[in-house]
Amino acid sequence: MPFLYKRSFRSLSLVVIVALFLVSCGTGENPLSIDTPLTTFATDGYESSQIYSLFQPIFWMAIGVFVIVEGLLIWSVIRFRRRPTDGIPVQLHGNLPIELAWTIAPAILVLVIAVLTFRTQAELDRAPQNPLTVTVIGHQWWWEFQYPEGNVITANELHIPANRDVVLNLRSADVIHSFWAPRLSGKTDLIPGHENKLLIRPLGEQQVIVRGHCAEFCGGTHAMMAFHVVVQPQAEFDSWLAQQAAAAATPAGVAQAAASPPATGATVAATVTGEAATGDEVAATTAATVAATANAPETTTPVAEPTSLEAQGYQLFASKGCVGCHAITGYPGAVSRVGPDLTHVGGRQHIVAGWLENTPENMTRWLRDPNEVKPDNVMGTAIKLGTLQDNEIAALTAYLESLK
Amino acid sequence: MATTAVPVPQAGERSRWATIWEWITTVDHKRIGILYIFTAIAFFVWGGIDALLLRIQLAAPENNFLSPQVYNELFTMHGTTMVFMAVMPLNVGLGNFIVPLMVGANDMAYPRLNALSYWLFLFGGIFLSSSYIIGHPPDAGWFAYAPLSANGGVLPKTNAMDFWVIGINILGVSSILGAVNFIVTILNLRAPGMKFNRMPLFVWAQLVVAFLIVFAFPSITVASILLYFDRNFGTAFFLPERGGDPMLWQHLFWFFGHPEVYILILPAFGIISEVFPVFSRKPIFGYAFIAYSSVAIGFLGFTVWAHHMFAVGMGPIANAAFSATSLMISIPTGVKIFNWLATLWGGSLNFKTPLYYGVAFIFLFVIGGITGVMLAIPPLDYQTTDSYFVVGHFHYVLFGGAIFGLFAGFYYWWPKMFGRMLSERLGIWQFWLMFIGMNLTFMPMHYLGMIGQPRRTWTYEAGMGFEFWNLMETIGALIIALSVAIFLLNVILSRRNGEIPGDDPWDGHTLEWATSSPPPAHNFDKMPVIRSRRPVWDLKYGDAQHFTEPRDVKAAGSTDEDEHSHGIHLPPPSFYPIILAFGLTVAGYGLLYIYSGGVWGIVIGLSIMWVGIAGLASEAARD
Repeated sequence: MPFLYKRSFRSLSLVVIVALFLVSCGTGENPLSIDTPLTTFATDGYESSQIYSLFQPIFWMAIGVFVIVEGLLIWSVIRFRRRPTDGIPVQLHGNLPIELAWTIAPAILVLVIAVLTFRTQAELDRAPQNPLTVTVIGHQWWWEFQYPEGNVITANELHIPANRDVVLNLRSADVIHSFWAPRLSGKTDLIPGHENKLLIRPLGEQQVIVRGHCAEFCGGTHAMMAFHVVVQPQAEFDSWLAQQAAAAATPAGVAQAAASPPATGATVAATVTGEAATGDEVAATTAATVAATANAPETTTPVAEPTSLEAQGYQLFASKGCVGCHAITGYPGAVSRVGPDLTHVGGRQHIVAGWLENTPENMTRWLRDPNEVKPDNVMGTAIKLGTLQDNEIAALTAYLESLK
Repeated sequence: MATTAVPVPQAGERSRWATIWEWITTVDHKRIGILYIFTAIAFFVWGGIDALLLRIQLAAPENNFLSPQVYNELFTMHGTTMVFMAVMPLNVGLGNFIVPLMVGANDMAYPRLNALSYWLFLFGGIFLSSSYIIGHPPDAGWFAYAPLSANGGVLPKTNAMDFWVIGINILGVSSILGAVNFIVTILNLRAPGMKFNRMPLFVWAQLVVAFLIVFAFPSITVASILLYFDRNFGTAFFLPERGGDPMLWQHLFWFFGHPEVYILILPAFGIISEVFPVFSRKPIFGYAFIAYSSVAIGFLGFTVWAHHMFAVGMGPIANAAFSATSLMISIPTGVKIFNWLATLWGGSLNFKTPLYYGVAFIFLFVIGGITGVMLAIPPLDYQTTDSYFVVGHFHYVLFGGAIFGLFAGFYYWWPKMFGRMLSERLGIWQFWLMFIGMNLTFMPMHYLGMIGQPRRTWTYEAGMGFEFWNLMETIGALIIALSVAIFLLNVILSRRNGEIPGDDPWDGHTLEWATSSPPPAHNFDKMPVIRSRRPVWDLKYGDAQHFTEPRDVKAAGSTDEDEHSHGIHLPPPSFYPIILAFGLTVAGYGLLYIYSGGVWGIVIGLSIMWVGIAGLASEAARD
């Protein structure tokens, strides 16, 4: 190789090293950390630990094969480079013993890998002991979690007890999604028309919040279909479940007369069953709800002006058509399953499918223009910038954040 | 009129239009090969620009350079373009030029069918690309999983995936016709003495690929037509709410999709098996094993498809079975690598650009193979599938493998194809930039996948640990782009400044080096006697007492009536293949707008096709 190439190669690698150093200093990020929110090098779950401990021997075998093969390659390239004195090399066509040897050696290696694999596979497919069952329904682009045990429905934040088998029944309302919380377990797809099961046993004594993400391309804004799993000790989980089963509180100052649901919202909610609704229907019904309620504001105007901001938000939740898609247990008429259940939305750590922290500022940003936060999302077909006035957004934010 | 003129026009004698007409009506496998290669390079550049835009979007977290919709369109088109419109036709193009020469034939078995394959490829590519201009580019991924591809879920339905379905089928017809042509050519048109076990390994690879295409493409054809029915005619093959099953799509798709991987990579195996012996001045080590392992890989390739579906919940037994077959396929592949290493071992390595690419091919393909074994292990696959780990893996196989193999082939055969050498200096520069850029782009993806970056995501949140390496990958992609630009520069400069090679610039072994560079229309004036796998080597270094002069092809049984004739029967040029291909494409546009007058497009398209078919039939009668 001419000197020129050597020098340019060296300067290029220098540039790369300097860039590596500068960026890692600038952001304080360790570019080789294996302890990240979505890491698979994790032992937060029995399943992820099993997979990680299978990964380790496989990884070192891979390194071994890599070093031997690439070593032979680099050695040949250096050793057998043509020299001016070279004659015609020995014309060797093959060597049966050597060829047999290097057929059998990889076969043995592959056999070892297969044995290790099937052992771990059996462990992952063990029979669950006294499991908690949760139904997970994937939607474009958020997650619904149903707890048959406590008659609770929640969204985007899965609470499960630590040190107990949890069976997730995986279903989809529209297209294929995949449930992946890498710190706990590998992924399993949610396929419409099928019900898959994923067995997880979270480990640990303290409450841990781990992140998850949809791992099958589901169109549109698949990139922003995240979720969180809150792993809690059994006692904490039990009290959480009981608290979630309670109906949402109605803000003080809401007149009883005004609390009755607007007719449009209720009928729309009743017609949309959520699971079978196609995209066009969802978009059409949400738009229709908003339009209907906007055109006939007098029908939902309360008798007395609500006093608190929360109470105003409560009114707006119906009059602005939110009930067309969102359910709130205890809110008359808010029963639609098109969008996430909001019964205890104020108590969640995140909103917008795990994308934003749950703060009043973020809730305001989301309600002002959902498309700015999450392009192509379904709520954005009904609510555009300007659909809600600033005072309405403030009221709705106050109400939703009060739903602890 | 039984013969054609020599293809290279005399300067100044023909007008530009006459030249264009010659290329449009050509049935010469060498010209068709060149058309294939340049068209595919154009699509390769296009698909590369798609990839650059994706990488710019991903350079920083929560970036808004592209909208999610555009991002989804670009990654769908990047995959579709690279698989169907770049790598496959590059393989077909090289094969078209080289295979008939290597087996000592005058042309492909069906020259006009060969032209038809090319025009279908060109029009199919234009059809798919036109979605950028007149409609919506496909946006449900090159794998087009139903129901997303069938009804879009909550997204408004466009005709984007109809573009994909119809385009894939036009390209599929092209591939199947081409494959049939390769099979018949290789089986029937070998020169005397070219037994199966003397066939060059590149020819073996092309033969296996042709069979794979013939058996794998019907699966995607059926699946995609059912998808079209679901989308347009109210059927529900893949829609569960009316009794269909999305899993059916995945099985049909991957039954095609996995053999497709071998369709993309096996020709590169063949190229490496030609380049290594020539540049180390040795015969290939373990010829029989390399040839038969291609066949074995071809067979096993049809038994592993569901390893793309470990996470769909098939259950532990099915997963274990597909894991076992997938692990098994690594054995013949691994042995091939040892054979290549043994070919280099003890050789006298002539370090020219083709060998640089060949050695890098091994280096990178080994990495792709190792990560492939990791993905064949279901428990590991549960974590890594649909993460960037997979993206890293298959780019090592398809970029490090197929593309590096193809560049080895370009630099090796360019002098034969065009009568000009590509510049070594630019070639080595291109090589190092591509090698560095490739590793900088794709190596970090393994790490990013393992720390949880899902693939096919338009953006990622800050604080996930993804920032630094995504930026590096974008820089790597820019380095690759620079490298491809240098290649294009090299091609352009070589036309005027390229060194003029002799007939045999690399001291070659196989028959294509026994004719001139570029070869005449009829390929060979004299044919060496084929006594071994290396007829041209025998000619130069063979045992003197067994030496036989190459035989004059002209003298071998032709009635030489025309004094300008070389005495070899070649089919006349034909205008009908392009007509037929054009008609099918018009019908494709008709299918796109089936509910808004598209029926007329279909009628007109089929009528044009009929003209083409009738024309081809009557030509055959006259000939």
